[in-house]
Amino acid sequence: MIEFRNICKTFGETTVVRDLNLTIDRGEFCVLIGSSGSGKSTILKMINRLVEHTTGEIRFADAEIRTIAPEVLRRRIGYAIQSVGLFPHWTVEANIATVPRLLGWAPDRIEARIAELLHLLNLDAERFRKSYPHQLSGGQQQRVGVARALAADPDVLLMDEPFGALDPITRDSLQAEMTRIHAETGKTIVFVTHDIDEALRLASRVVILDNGQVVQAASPRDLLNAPANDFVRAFLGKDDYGLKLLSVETVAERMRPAIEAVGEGAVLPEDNLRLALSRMVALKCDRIAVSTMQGARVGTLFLSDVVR
Amino acid sequence: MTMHMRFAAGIVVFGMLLLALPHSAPLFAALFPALDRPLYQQQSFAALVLAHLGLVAAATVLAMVVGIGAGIFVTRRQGQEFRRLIETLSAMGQTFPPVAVLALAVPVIGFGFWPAFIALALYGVLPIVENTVSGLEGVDPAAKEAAEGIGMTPLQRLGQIELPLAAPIILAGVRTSVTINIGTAAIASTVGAVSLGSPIIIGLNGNNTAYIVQGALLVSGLAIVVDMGFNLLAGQLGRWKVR
Amino acid sequence: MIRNRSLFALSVLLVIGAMALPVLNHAPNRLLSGQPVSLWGLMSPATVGFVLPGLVLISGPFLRQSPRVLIALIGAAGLTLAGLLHIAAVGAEGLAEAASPAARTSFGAGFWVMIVAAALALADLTARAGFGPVIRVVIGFAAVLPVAAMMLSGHLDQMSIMKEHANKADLFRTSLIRHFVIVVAALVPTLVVGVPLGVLAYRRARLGGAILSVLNIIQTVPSIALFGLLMAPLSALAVAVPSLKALGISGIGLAPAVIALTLYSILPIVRNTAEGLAQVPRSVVEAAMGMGMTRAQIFWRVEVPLARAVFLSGLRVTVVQAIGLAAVAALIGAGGLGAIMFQGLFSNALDLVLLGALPIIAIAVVADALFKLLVTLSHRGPA
Repeated sequence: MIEFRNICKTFGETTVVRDLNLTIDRGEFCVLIGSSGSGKSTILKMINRLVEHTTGEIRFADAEIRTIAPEVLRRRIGYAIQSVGLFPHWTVEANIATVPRLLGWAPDRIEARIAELLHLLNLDAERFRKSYPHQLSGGQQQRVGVARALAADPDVLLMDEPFGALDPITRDSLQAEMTRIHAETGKTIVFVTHDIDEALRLASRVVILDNGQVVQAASPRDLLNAPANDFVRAFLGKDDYGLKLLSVETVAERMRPAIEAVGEGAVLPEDNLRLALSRMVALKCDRIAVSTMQGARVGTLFLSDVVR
Repeated sequence: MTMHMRFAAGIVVFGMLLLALPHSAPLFAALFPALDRPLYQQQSFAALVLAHLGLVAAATVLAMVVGIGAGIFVTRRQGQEFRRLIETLSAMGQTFPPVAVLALAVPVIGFGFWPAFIALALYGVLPIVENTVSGLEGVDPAAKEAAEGIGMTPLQRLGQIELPLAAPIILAGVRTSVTINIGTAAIASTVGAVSLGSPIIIGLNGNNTAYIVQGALLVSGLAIVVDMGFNLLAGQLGRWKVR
Repeated sequence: MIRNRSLFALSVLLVIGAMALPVLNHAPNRLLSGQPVSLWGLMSPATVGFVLPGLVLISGPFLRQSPRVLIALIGAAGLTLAGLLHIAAVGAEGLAEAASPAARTSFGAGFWVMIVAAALALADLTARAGFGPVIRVVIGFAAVLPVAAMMLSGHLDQMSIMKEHANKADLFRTSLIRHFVIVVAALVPTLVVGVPLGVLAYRRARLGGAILSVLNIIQTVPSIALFGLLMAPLSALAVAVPSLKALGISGIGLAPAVIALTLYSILPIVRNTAEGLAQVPRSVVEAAMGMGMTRAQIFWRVEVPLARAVFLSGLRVTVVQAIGLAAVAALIGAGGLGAIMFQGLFSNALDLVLLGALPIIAIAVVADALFKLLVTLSHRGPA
């Protein structure tokens, strides 16, 4: 879907990105991660030409991006940023409708799309449609920001540290939303963050960057199981490395059939092992029931299987 | 909405003043018995109000076109280099007393409507360009970045996002410009233009206090009503902030 | 390749002024209009050299804008100003020799355009070089020094404006003094009334709002109207209480002028006093209270020094505004430089207009610059 071929970017004397080669496939949730100055935001902005690459070629849906007019390109790509940037003088409705209006959609099509998006982002239409950005909380504003980015149904969604300015609880709920939205819409998402936990939670593929170059690009599981070098290891964190390993595995993969009766507490099959471990420690037991959302018992998870 | 009501009341009061004055000869004769011409009659008061408004409006329109245009130019990438010059010019220019600028127009242009118009327009550009620059600079950078990233053309960004968000500050600049110009236009009859200052200046020259009071009342009323109008406009522009 | 587009624009202006417009206007007497004299016409072996700084200046946009080049160009701009004035003065002297005593030589459009272009170039270059405020004032002073020297030494005496000054030297001096008197006389009650009102407006927000509303209405009223509206009651008062007239308080002259100026000046003082106090961080005041300082000590030792810069900014606006208003006050008989200016307008004596208007502008600009310097220094000084 998006291809970076031998990309370099210099700002005056400084080279920010050097010889970057990266392919992002359709439907991926690709997370670019690195410390400050690693070039991750720059790389993201090269996709929608907010930053022009110095040398090399970037292909978007098999066309060289320089052959597409910048505005046309950007209207095909969703863009959400950390500071959200909602237009303060427009209602939530008007904000979301921005790109559809630019594209000349029919009014009733826009109306329907707004309703659809408010529902997708879990925003109560009654309450929020006619509100102004300053009346919304930070989390609500960012939801509107994501809705606005998705409004014209783009194939690709670019997100530049969108949850960085939010409190942990809101961040957690929005991360869950993104996973759900990605599953429901199947869009290609390119996501920039400096938070490794966020990357491991959301990504189908993590790209670790340092000084404008790719250090390792792999799925969260592969990354944790086979870090390429010490830099990656340090990035993944030494103290809670084991817990991170657990967070990319699900209960369903390690549970046994539901033979015996077990004490209180349960986990869902799709929960990750880290959550399960946390519950078992809190309940002071070495096994826990696995049940679906509806309450049907489907198995048992043993502590010994968790640390296998 | 008391602002609407106040503005309406102001217009009504001013209108009544305008209607009553031509008939107030007996009142002024009683107040100033020594004068044999207690009521200004060289032009009708309505004509003076129109002339005054016309002069200020024409100068303000020109000042807005030039001022807002320059302000936009100087905040774009192509015009960045000129920004310092424009800021220096407008800061310096606003220390010049407006009456001096008015007087200096005469050696250059002569007497009549035109020197007054040019002086008012020149002086009026300054607060407008200053406020346009600061208003556009004050627009939330996140909103500008989002607008660009979403796919608006520079012109769409300017027209739909930047200018509407800068509008309250630009309006404040226009308001300052108009307030000063209404005052300077009142002195414009010293350079040969007709305005509500004409009865005042003629009254001062001929020791006719009645003329002075009539002119002063009308021009003060006009200034206050116009200011109320701007207040109303400012409130309307900032509506989305208040909820 | 143009490396400094704003300087380029100003250079174009400079060249237009030099080539297409007259530097001087020479008329055989006051009543007839003048013959234009171009820069070319004023070139002689004595004056040719003085065009050099101008040539350096217009080559400036094409040079690399290094710090040294900028300093050189600043010098060139200053010398262009002085050189231009000198060429005009020498030219005027030459024309005066060949003509009758009634002949008038005045500055032409080209002269003014070039002066403005060179002055703006000086300001722009100084800003581009990034000098601090003190150095900027020094540069401004250095640019003005040769001009002042030429004026005071009598070098410019053949210019019509200086001839007018010679004719009216006494009137000019008394008008200048009177102008200062009006401004200072208004400043005293303004500060005495305005500062306490400002403190009150800061302490009691609602009352402050009401005070500012009233003052705003006064500010909207055109100055000539306020002067005019004060005349009637004041003259009635003077008639009713003859002792006031003996003191000099009547419907015309100083009394209405000072009263009106005071009324106009109170708003910026009240507003800036209140705003200055409002921007003192609450935490600092609380710390002072915690240390056991009395209300008065906190006010004088903490709030006042921290509010000083904003207050001085308001004082600057007030003084500059007052200088302009005093010019208008001449219309009601208050005297001052405005009287000379209006006399020129009423009798179509354009040099008199310049003789009145230019000093008013100069005083306003200098006052503004001095106050700006004061504000900057008070930011830096011990708080």
